[in-house]
Amino acid sequence: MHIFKKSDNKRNQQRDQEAVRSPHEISDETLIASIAQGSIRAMEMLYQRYSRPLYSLAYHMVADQQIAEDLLQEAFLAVWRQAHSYSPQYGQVHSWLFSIIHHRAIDYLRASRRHPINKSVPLDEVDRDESTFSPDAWDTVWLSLRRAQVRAALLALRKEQRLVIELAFFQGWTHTEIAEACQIPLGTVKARMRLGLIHLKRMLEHQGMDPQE
Amino acid sequence: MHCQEFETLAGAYVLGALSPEERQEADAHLAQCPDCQRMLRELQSAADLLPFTVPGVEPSAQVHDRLFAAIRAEASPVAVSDTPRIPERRPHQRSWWHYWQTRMALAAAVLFFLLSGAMVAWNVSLQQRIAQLSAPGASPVVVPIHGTDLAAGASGQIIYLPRLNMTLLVVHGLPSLEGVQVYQGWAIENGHPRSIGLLQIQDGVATLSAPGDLRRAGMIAVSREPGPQASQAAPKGPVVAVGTPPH
Repeated sequence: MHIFKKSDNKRNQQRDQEAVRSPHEISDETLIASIAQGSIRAMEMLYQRYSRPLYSLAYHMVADQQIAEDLLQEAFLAVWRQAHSYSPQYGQVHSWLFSIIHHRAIDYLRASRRHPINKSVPLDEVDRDESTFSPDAWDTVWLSLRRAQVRAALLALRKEQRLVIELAFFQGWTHTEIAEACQIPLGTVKARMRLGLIHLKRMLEHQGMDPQE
Repeated sequence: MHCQEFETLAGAYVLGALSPEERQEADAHLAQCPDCQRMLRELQSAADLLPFTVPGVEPSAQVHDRLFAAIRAEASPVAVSDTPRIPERRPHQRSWWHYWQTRMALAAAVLFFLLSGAMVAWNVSLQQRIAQLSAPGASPVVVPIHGTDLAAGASGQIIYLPRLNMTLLVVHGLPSLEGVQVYQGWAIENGHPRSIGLLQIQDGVATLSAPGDLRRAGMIAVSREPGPQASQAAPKGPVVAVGTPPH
Protein backbone atom coordinates (compact mmCIF):
# COMPACT_ATOMS: atom_id res chain seq x y z
CA MET A 1 0.00 0.00 0.00
CA HIS A 2 2.82 2.39 0.97
CA ILE A 3 4.54 1.69 -2.39
CA PHE A 4 1.38 2.59 -4.31
CA LYS A 5 1.04 5.85 -2.36
CA LYS A 6 4.60 6.80 -3.27
CA SER A 7 3.89 6.12 -6.93
CA ASP A 8 0.78 8.29 -6.75
CA ASN A 9 2.79 11.19 -5.30
CA LYS A 10 5.38 10.86 -8.02
CA ARG A 11 2.69 10.86 -10.68
CA ASN A 12 1.12 13.95 -9.17
CA GLN A 13 4.42 15.81 -9.18
CA GLN A 14 5.04 14.86 -12.77
CA ARG A 15 1.54 15.97 -13.70
CA ASP A 16 2.06 19.35 -12.01
CA GLN A 17 5.30 19.90 -13.89
CA GLU A 18 3.74 18.92 -17.20
CA ALA A 19 0.76 21.19 -16.53
CA VAL A 20 2.91 24.28 -17.11
CA ARG A 21 2.63 24.63 -20.86
CA SER A 22 4.12 27.01 -23.35
CA PRO A 23 2.47 30.47 -23.50
CA HIS A 24 0.84 29.75 -26.85
CA GLU A 25 -1.15 26.86 -25.35
CA ILE A 26 -2.73 28.97 -22.59
CA SER A 27 -6.20 30.23 -23.47
CA ASP A 28 -7.21 33.86 -23.13
CA GLU A 29 -9.83 32.86 -20.57
CA THR A 30 -7.18 31.18 -18.42
CA LEU A 31 -5.05 34.31 -18.58
CA ILE A 32 -7.95 36.52 -17.50
CA ALA A 33 -8.78 34.18 -14.62
CA SER A 34 -5.14 34.31 -13.51
CA ILE A 35 -5.03 38.09 -13.81
CA ALA A 36 -8.15 38.28 -11.64
CA GLN A 37 -6.12 36.44 -9.00
CA GLY A 38 -3.29 38.92 -9.29
CA SER A 39 -0.93 37.15 -11.70
CA ILE A 40 1.43 39.69 -13.25
CA ARG A 41 2.95 36.96 -15.41
CA ALA A 42 -0.47 36.33 -16.96
CA MET A 43 -0.82 40.06 -17.50
CA GLU A 44 2.54 40.06 -19.33
CA MET A 45 1.33 37.25 -21.58
CA LEU A 46 -1.93 39.03 -22.34
CA TYR A 47 -0.04 42.23 -23.13
CA GLN A 48 2.36 40.36 -25.40
CA ARG A 49 -0.61 38.83 -27.21
CA TYR A 50 -2.84 41.87 -27.63
CA SER A 51 -0.89 45.11 -27.22
CA ARG A 52 -0.17 45.42 -30.92
CA PRO A 53 -3.71 44.88 -32.30
CA LEU A 54 -5.24 47.05 -29.56
CA TYR A 55 -2.72 49.81 -30.15
CA SER A 56 -3.25 49.53 -33.89
CA LEU A 57 -6.98 50.16 -33.46
CA ALA A 58 -6.44 53.11 -31.12
CA TYR A 59 -3.79 54.63 -33.38
CA HIS A 60 -5.99 54.23 -36.44
CA MET A 61 -8.81 56.05 -34.66
CA VAL A 62 -7.01 58.92 -32.95
CA ALA A 63 -4.09 59.32 -35.39
CA ASP A 64 -1.75 60.36 -32.57
CA GLN A 65 0.99 58.12 -31.17
CA GLN A 66 1.00 59.58 -27.66
CA ILE A 67 -2.76 59.56 -27.30
CA ALA A 68 -2.96 56.02 -28.63
CA GLU A 69 -0.31 54.85 -26.16
CA ASP A 70 -2.16 56.52 -23.30
CA LEU A 71 -5.35 54.77 -24.37
CA LEU A 72 -3.49 51.46 -24.55
CA GLN A 73 -2.14 51.90 -21.04
CA GLU A 74 -5.57 52.88 -19.70
CA ALA A 75 -7.16 49.88 -21.36
CA PHE A 76 -4.72 47.38 -19.90
CA LEU A 77 -4.95 48.99 -16.46
CA ALA A 78 -8.71 48.57 -16.70
CA VAL A 79 -8.16 44.89 -17.53
CA TRP A 80 -5.85 44.53 -14.52
CA ARG A 81 -8.39 46.14 -12.20
CA GLN A 82 -11.56 44.61 -13.64
CA ALA A 83 -10.47 41.14 -14.79
CA HIS A 84 -12.83 39.65 -12.22
CA SER A 85 -15.76 41.30 -14.01
CA TYR A 86 -15.15 39.49 -17.29
CA SER A 87 -17.56 36.67 -18.09
CA PRO A 88 -17.70 34.50 -21.24
CA GLN A 89 -21.33 35.49 -21.64
CA TYR A 90 -20.08 38.94 -22.71
CA GLY A 91 -18.22 37.36 -25.63
CA GLN A 92 -14.67 36.26 -26.24
CA VAL A 93 -11.77 37.84 -24.40
CA HIS A 94 -10.41 39.57 -27.50
CA SER A 95 -13.86 41.14 -28.11
CA TRP A 96 -13.92 42.39 -24.53
CA LEU A 97 -10.43 43.87 -24.86
CA PHE A 98 -11.24 45.60 -28.14
CA SER A 99 -14.46 47.03 -26.70
CA ILE A 100 -12.54 48.52 -23.75
CA ILE A 101 -10.07 50.40 -25.91
CA HIS A 102 -12.65 51.21 -28.58
CA HIS A 103 -14.96 52.92 -26.07
CA ARG A 104 -12.05 54.89 -24.64
CA ALA A 105 -10.99 55.99 -28.11
CA ILE A 106 -14.54 57.07 -28.94
CA ASP A 107 -14.79 58.99 -25.67
CA TYR A 108 -11.55 60.76 -26.51
CA LEU A 109 -12.65 61.63 -30.03
CA ARG A 110 -15.98 63.00 -28.86
CA ALA A 111 -14.44 64.91 -25.97
CA SER A 112 -11.90 66.54 -28.22
CA ARG A 113 -14.54 67.07 -30.93
CA ARG A 114 -12.06 65.85 -33.44
CA HIS A 115 -12.86 63.75 -36.49
CA PRO A 116 -9.47 63.03 -37.98
CA ILE A 117 -9.31 62.19 -41.63
CA ASN A 118 -7.55 58.87 -41.93
CA LYS A 119 -5.14 58.65 -44.83
CA SER A 120 -5.36 55.31 -46.54
CA VAL A 121 -2.22 53.22 -46.24
CA PRO A 122 -1.12 51.56 -49.48
CA LEU A 123 -0.98 47.81 -49.22
CA ASP A 124 2.78 47.60 -49.74
CA GLU A 125 3.33 50.02 -46.84
CA VAL A 126 1.08 47.89 -44.64
CA ASP A 127 3.13 44.80 -45.43
CA ARG A 128 6.38 46.65 -44.76
CA ASP A 129 5.12 47.89 -41.40
CA GLU A 130 4.14 44.42 -40.27
CA SER A 131 7.39 42.75 -41.26
CA THR A 132 9.49 45.47 -39.60
CA PHE A 133 7.67 45.77 -36.31
CA SER A 134 6.23 42.40 -35.43
CA PRO A 135 8.05 40.70 -32.59
CA ASP A 136 6.12 37.47 -33.15
CA ALA A 137 6.16 36.06 -36.66
CA TRP A 138 3.13 33.85 -36.12
CA ASP A 139 0.94 36.65 -34.78
CA THR A 140 1.81 38.67 -37.85
CA VAL A 141 0.95 35.83 -40.18
CA TRP A 142 -2.28 34.97 -38.38
CA LEU A 143 -3.41 38.57 -38.14
CA SER A 144 -2.48 39.16 -41.78
CA LEU A 145 -4.63 36.27 -42.90
CA ARG A 146 -7.52 37.39 -40.73
CA ARG A 147 -7.10 41.01 -41.75
CA ALA A 148 -7.14 40.17 -45.45
CA GLN A 149 -10.35 38.19 -45.10
CA VAL A 150 -12.20 40.79 -43.06
CA ARG A 151 -10.93 43.72 -45.13
CA ALA A 152 -12.05 42.02 -48.33
CA ALA A 153 -15.50 41.46 -46.86
CA LEU A 154 -15.71 45.07 -45.67
CA LEU A 155 -14.71 46.37 -49.09
CA ALA A 156 -17.34 44.17 -50.69
CA LEU A 157 -20.12 45.96 -48.78
CA ARG A 158 -22.18 48.57 -50.53
CA LYS A 159 -20.27 51.82 -50.15
CA GLU A 160 -23.06 53.62 -48.29
CA GLN A 161 -23.12 50.82 -45.70
CA ARG A 162 -19.34 50.79 -45.44
CA LEU A 163 -19.24 54.58 -45.01
CA VAL A 164 -21.56 54.66 -41.99
CA ILE A 165 -19.75 51.72 -40.39
CA GLU A 166 -16.36 53.37 -40.84
CA LEU A 167 -17.55 56.78 -39.63
CA ALA A 168 -19.14 55.24 -36.55
CA PHE A 169 -16.62 52.57 -35.59
CA PHE A 170 -13.33 54.20 -36.58
CA GLN A 171 -14.15 57.88 -36.33
CA GLY A 172 -16.41 57.79 -33.28
CA TRP A 173 -19.34 59.61 -34.88
CA THR A 174 -22.80 59.07 -33.42
CA HIS A 175 -25.59 58.08 -35.76
CA THR A 176 -27.11 61.52 -35.32
CA GLU A 177 -23.86 63.23 -36.34
CA ILE A 178 -23.57 60.98 -39.39
CA ALA A 179 -27.15 61.76 -40.44
CA GLU A 180 -26.52 65.49 -40.11
CA ALA A 181 -23.12 65.48 -41.81
CA CYS A 182 -24.19 63.26 -44.68
CA GLN A 183 -27.62 64.85 -45.02
CA ILE A 184 -29.48 61.56 -44.86
CA PRO A 185 -32.38 60.55 -42.59
CA LEU A 186 -31.47 59.15 -39.19
CA GLY A 187 -33.52 56.03 -39.86
CA THR A 188 -31.52 55.41 -43.03
CA VAL A 189 -28.25 55.66 -41.09
CA LYS A 190 -29.45 53.15 -38.50
CA ALA A 191 -30.67 50.75 -41.18
CA ARG A 192 -27.40 50.94 -43.13
CA MET A 193 -25.43 50.20 -39.97
CA ARG A 194 -27.55 47.17 -39.10
CA LEU A 195 -27.75 45.77 -42.62
CA GLY A 196 -24.07 46.43 -43.28
CA LEU A 197 -23.09 44.38 -40.22
CA ILE A 198 -25.48 41.58 -41.21
CA HIS A 199 -24.02 41.45 -44.71
CA LEU A 200 -20.47 41.52 -43.35
CA LYS A 201 -21.24 38.58 -41.07
CA ARG A 202 -22.85 36.58 -43.89
CA MET A 203 -19.92 37.20 -46.22
CA LEU A 204 -17.41 36.01 -43.66
CA GLU A 205 -19.50 32.95 -42.85
CA HIS A 206 -19.66 32.19 -46.56
CA GLN A 207 -15.86 32.26 -46.62
CA GLY A 208 -15.80 29.71 -43.86
CA MET A 209 -14.87 32.14 -41.09
CA ASP A 210 -16.94 31.95 -37.94
CA PRO A 211 -17.14 35.59 -36.77
CA GLN A 212 -17.82 34.35 -33.24
CA GLU A 213 -14.43 32.57 -33.05
CA MET B 1 -37.86 51.13 -25.20
CA HIS B 2 -39.54 48.19 -26.99
CA CYS B 3 -37.97 45.49 -29.12
CA GLN B 4 -38.70 47.05 -32.47
CA GLU B 5 -37.04 50.26 -31.40
CA PHE B 6 -34.03 48.36 -30.10
CA GLU B 7 -33.74 46.43 -33.35
CA THR B 8 -33.39 49.64 -35.33
CA LEU B 9 -30.70 50.84 -32.92
CA ALA B 10 -28.81 47.54 -32.68
CA GLY B 11 -26.32 48.32 -35.45
CA ALA B 12 -25.50 51.71 -33.95
CA TYR B 13 -25.21 50.07 -30.53
CA VAL B 14 -22.50 47.59 -31.51
CA LEU B 15 -20.63 50.23 -33.50
CA GLY B 16 -20.56 52.53 -30.47
CA ALA B 17 -22.59 55.16 -32.31
CA LEU B 18 -25.21 55.89 -29.67
CA SER B 19 -25.18 58.82 -27.30
CA PRO B 20 -24.65 57.94 -23.62
CA GLU B 21 -28.35 58.49 -22.90
CA GLU B 22 -29.45 56.26 -25.80
CA ARG B 23 -27.01 53.56 -24.72
CA GLN B 24 -28.30 53.67 -21.17
CA GLU B 25 -31.85 53.23 -22.42
CA ALA B 26 -30.77 50.37 -24.70
CA ASP B 27 -28.90 48.66 -21.84
CA ALA B 28 -31.99 48.86 -19.66
CA HIS B 29 -34.04 47.12 -22.36
CA LEU B 30 -31.32 44.50 -22.98
CA ALA B 31 -31.21 43.63 -19.29
CA GLN B 32 -34.71 42.18 -19.56
CA CYS B 33 -34.98 40.97 -23.15
CA PRO B 34 -33.22 37.70 -24.07
CA ASP B 35 -34.39 37.96 -27.69
CA CYS B 36 -32.71 41.30 -28.16
CA GLN B 37 -29.60 40.01 -26.37
CA ARG B 38 -29.45 37.17 -28.89
CA MET B 39 -29.90 39.53 -31.82
CA LEU B 40 -27.22 41.82 -30.46
CA ARG B 41 -24.71 38.98 -30.17
CA GLU B 42 -25.14 38.24 -33.88
CA LEU B 43 -24.31 41.82 -34.85
CA GLN B 44 -21.59 42.12 -32.23
CA SER B 45 -19.72 39.16 -33.72
CA ALA B 46 -19.37 41.05 -37.01
CA ALA B 47 -18.38 44.32 -35.34
CA ASP B 48 -15.75 42.46 -33.30
CA LEU B 49 -13.84 41.75 -36.51
CA LEU B 50 -13.57 45.38 -37.61
CA PRO B 51 -10.39 45.99 -35.55
CA PHE B 52 -8.70 43.38 -37.74
CA THR B 53 -8.98 45.62 -40.78
CA VAL B 54 -6.58 48.32 -39.57
CA PRO B 55 -2.85 48.27 -40.38
CA GLY B 56 -0.66 46.80 -37.67
CA VAL B 57 1.45 49.27 -35.65
CA GLU B 58 3.70 48.42 -32.71
CA PRO B 59 3.51 50.51 -29.50
CA SER B 60 6.74 51.74 -27.98
CA ALA B 61 8.51 49.76 -25.25
CA GLN B 62 7.91 52.69 -22.87
CA VAL B 63 4.19 51.92 -22.77
CA HIS B 64 4.96 48.43 -21.47
CA ASP B 65 7.37 49.77 -18.87
CA ARG B 66 4.96 52.45 -17.60
CA LEU B 67 2.06 50.04 -17.52
CA PHE B 68 3.81 47.33 -15.54
CA ALA B 69 5.36 49.83 -13.16
CA ALA B 70 1.81 50.96 -12.37
CA ILE B 71 0.59 47.38 -12.07
CA ARG B 72 3.40 46.39 -9.71
CA ALA B 73 2.69 49.46 -7.61
CA GLU B 74 -0.93 48.36 -7.30
CA ALA B 75 -0.29 44.63 -6.87
CA SER B 76 -0.52 43.30 -3.35
CA PRO B 77 2.67 41.81 -1.81
CA VAL B 78 1.13 38.33 -1.98
CA ALA B 79 0.13 38.60 -5.64
CA VAL B 80 0.72 35.37 -7.55
CA SER B 81 3.19 35.87 -10.36
CA ASP B 82 3.65 32.28 -11.50
CA THR B 83 2.99 31.02 -14.95
CA PRO B 84 -0.69 30.17 -15.31
CA ARG B 85 -1.34 26.48 -15.29
CA ILE B 86 -3.79 24.75 -17.52
CA PRO B 87 -5.53 21.43 -16.85
CA GLU B 88 -3.61 18.52 -18.20
CA ARG B 89 -5.53 16.57 -20.81
CA ARG B 90 -5.41 12.84 -20.56
CA PRO B 91 -4.40 11.17 -23.82
CA HIS B 92 -7.15 9.33 -25.54
CA GLN B 93 -6.85 5.62 -24.79
CA ARG B 94 -6.81 3.36 -27.80
CA SER B 95 -6.52 -0.34 -28.07
CA TRP B 96 -3.43 -1.79 -29.70
CA TRP B 97 -5.56 -3.36 -32.41
CA HIS B 98 -7.08 -0.01 -33.30
CA TYR B 99 -3.58 1.52 -33.29
CA TRP B 100 -2.21 -1.04 -35.76
CA GLN B 101 -5.37 -1.03 -37.83
CA THR B 102 -5.01 2.74 -38.20
CA ARG B 103 -1.32 2.57 -39.08
CA MET B 104 -1.84 -0.20 -41.63
CA ALA B 105 -4.65 1.66 -43.31
CA LEU B 106 -2.56 4.82 -43.37
CA ALA B 107 0.43 2.98 -44.82
CA ALA B 108 -1.80 1.54 -47.52
CA ALA B 109 -3.22 4.99 -48.29
CA VAL B 110 0.18 6.72 -48.43
CA LEU B 111 1.67 3.94 -50.56
CA PHE B 112 -1.18 4.31 -53.00
CA PHE B 113 -0.59 8.10 -53.27
CA LEU B 114 3.07 7.58 -54.08
CA LEU B 115 2.36 5.07 -56.83
CA SER B 116 -0.17 7.27 -58.64
CA GLY B 117 0.67 8.68 -62.05
CA ALA B 118 -0.84 11.80 -63.59
CA MET B 119 -2.67 14.33 -61.41
CA VAL B 120 -6.17 13.47 -62.74
CA ALA B 121 -5.62 9.74 -62.42
CA TRP B 122 -4.16 10.30 -58.96
CA ASN B 123 -7.21 12.27 -57.89
CA VAL B 124 -9.65 9.63 -59.10
CA SER B 125 -7.65 6.83 -57.47
CA LEU B 126 -7.49 8.74 -54.20
CA GLN B 127 -11.23 9.11 -54.06
CA GLN B 128 -11.69 5.40 -54.82
CA ARG B 129 -9.23 4.34 -52.12
CA ILE B 130 -10.82 6.59 -49.55
CA ALA B 131 -14.23 5.15 -50.32
CA GLN B 132 -12.84 1.64 -49.72
CA LEU B 133 -11.36 2.62 -46.39
CA SER B 134 -14.48 4.34 -45.22
CA ALA B 135 -17.41 2.47 -43.75
CA PRO B 136 -20.79 2.83 -45.43
CA GLY B 137 -22.58 5.90 -44.17
CA ALA B 138 -19.32 7.48 -42.95
CA SER B 139 -18.08 9.15 -46.12
CA PRO B 140 -14.84 11.09 -46.06
CA VAL B 141 -15.22 14.84 -45.81
CA VAL B 142 -13.11 16.91 -48.16
CA VAL B 143 -12.19 20.57 -47.69
CA PRO B 144 -10.14 22.46 -50.31
CA ILE B 145 -6.83 24.07 -49.47
CA HIS B 146 -5.40 26.95 -51.51
CA GLY B 147 -1.96 28.42 -51.95
CA THR B 148 -1.26 31.91 -50.61
CA ASP B 149 0.53 34.61 -52.63
CA LEU B 150 3.82 32.81 -51.98
CA ALA B 151 2.51 29.62 -53.57
CA ALA B 152 -0.21 30.77 -55.91
CA GLY B 153 -0.09 27.55 -57.92
CA ALA B 154 -0.55 25.28 -54.92
CA SER B 155 -3.81 23.54 -54.18
CA GLY B 156 -4.97 20.46 -52.37
CA GLN B 157 -7.40 18.92 -49.98
CA ILE B 158 -7.98 18.31 -46.31
CA ILE B 159 -9.58 14.88 -46.10
CA TYR B 160 -11.20 13.64 -42.93
CA LEU B 161 -11.73 9.86 -42.67
CA PRO B 162 -14.47 9.34 -40.08
CA ARG B 163 -13.92 5.61 -39.65
CA LEU B 164 -10.24 6.08 -38.86
CA ASN B 165 -10.75 9.39 -37.08
CA MET B 166 -7.84 10.69 -39.08
CA THR B 167 -7.23 13.70 -41.27
CA LEU B 168 -5.09 13.63 -44.40
CA LEU B 169 -3.57 16.76 -45.85
CA VAL B 170 -2.62 16.54 -49.52
CA VAL B 171 -1.11 19.50 -51.36
CA HIS B 172 0.36 19.69 -54.84
CA GLY B 173 2.13 22.50 -56.60
CA LEU B 174 4.14 23.74 -53.62
CA PRO B 175 7.40 25.47 -54.57
CA SER B 176 10.60 23.47 -54.27
CA LEU B 177 12.39 23.70 -50.96
CA GLU B 178 15.94 24.90 -50.49
CA GLY B 179 18.55 23.40 -48.26
CA VAL B 180 17.02 21.78 -45.17
CA GLN B 181 13.72 23.66 -45.38
CA VAL B 182 10.56 21.72 -44.62
CA TYR B 183 6.83 22.18 -45.06
CA GLN B 184 4.91 21.94 -41.79
CA GLY B 185 1.18 21.65 -41.10
CA TRP B 186 -0.64 23.68 -38.45
CA ALA B 187 -4.10 23.59 -36.95
CA ILE B 188 -5.16 27.10 -35.95
CA GLU B 189 -7.51 27.09 -33.00
CA ASN B 190 -8.73 30.39 -31.59
CA GLY B 191 -5.83 32.10 -33.31
CA HIS B 192 -3.23 29.83 -31.72
CA PRO B 193 -1.22 27.50 -33.92
CA ARG B 194 -0.65 23.84 -33.10
CA SER B 195 1.79 21.79 -35.13
CA ILE B 196 0.30 18.73 -36.81
CA GLY B 197 3.59 17.54 -38.31
CA LEU B 198 5.88 17.76 -41.31
CA LEU B 199 4.61 17.13 -44.81
CA GLN B 200 6.29 14.34 -46.77
CA ILE B 201 6.99 15.17 -50.40
CA GLN B 202 7.08 12.63 -53.19
CA ASP B 203 6.76 13.30 -56.91
CA GLY B 204 5.64 16.86 -56.28
CA VAL B 205 2.84 15.86 -53.89
CA ALA B 206 3.08 16.84 -50.22
CA THR B 207 1.14 14.71 -47.75
CA LEU B 208 0.57 14.61 -44.04
CA SER B 209 -1.66 12.50 -41.84
CA ALA B 210 -2.75 13.51 -38.37
CA PRO B 211 -5.02 11.85 -35.83
CA GLY B 212 -8.41 13.30 -35.09
CA ASP B 213 -10.79 15.57 -36.90
CA LEU B 214 -8.85 18.70 -37.85
CA ARG B 215 -11.99 20.23 -39.30
CA ARG B 216 -12.67 21.49 -35.79
CA ALA B 217 -9.75 23.87 -36.16
CA GLY B 218 -10.66 27.31 -37.43
CA MET B 219 -8.03 27.01 -40.12
CA ILE B 220 -5.44 24.55 -41.43
CA ALA B 221 -2.22 26.11 -42.68
CA VAL B 222 1.01 24.93 -44.28
CA SER B 223 4.15 26.95 -43.64
CA ARG B 224 7.68 26.78 -45.02
CA GLU B 225 10.01 26.30 -42.06
CA PRO B 226 13.80 26.63 -41.90
CA GLY B 227 14.12 22.96 -40.85
CA PRO B 228 15.41 20.37 -40.64
CA GLN B 229 13.27 19.75 -37.58
CA ALA B 230 9.72 20.91 -37.10
CA SER B 231 9.21 24.30 -35.51
CA GLN B 232 7.75 24.00 -32.03
CA ALA B 233 5.33 26.60 -30.74
CA ALA B 234 4.52 28.62 -33.86
CA PRO B 235 5.57 28.95 -37.49
CA LYS B 236 8.86 30.70 -38.05
CA GLY B 237 8.38 30.88 -41.78
CA PRO B 238 5.70 32.12 -44.17
CA VAL B 239 2.32 30.43 -44.65
CA VAL B 240 2.10 29.00 -48.16
CA ALA B 241 -1.29 27.27 -48.14
CA VAL B 242 -4.48 27.66 -46.17
CA GLY B 243 -7.73 25.72 -45.82
CA THR B 244 -10.75 26.89 -43.87
CA PRO B 245 -13.00 24.02 -42.75
CA PRO B 246 -16.64 25.09 -42.72
CA HIS B 247 -18.48 24.95 -39.38
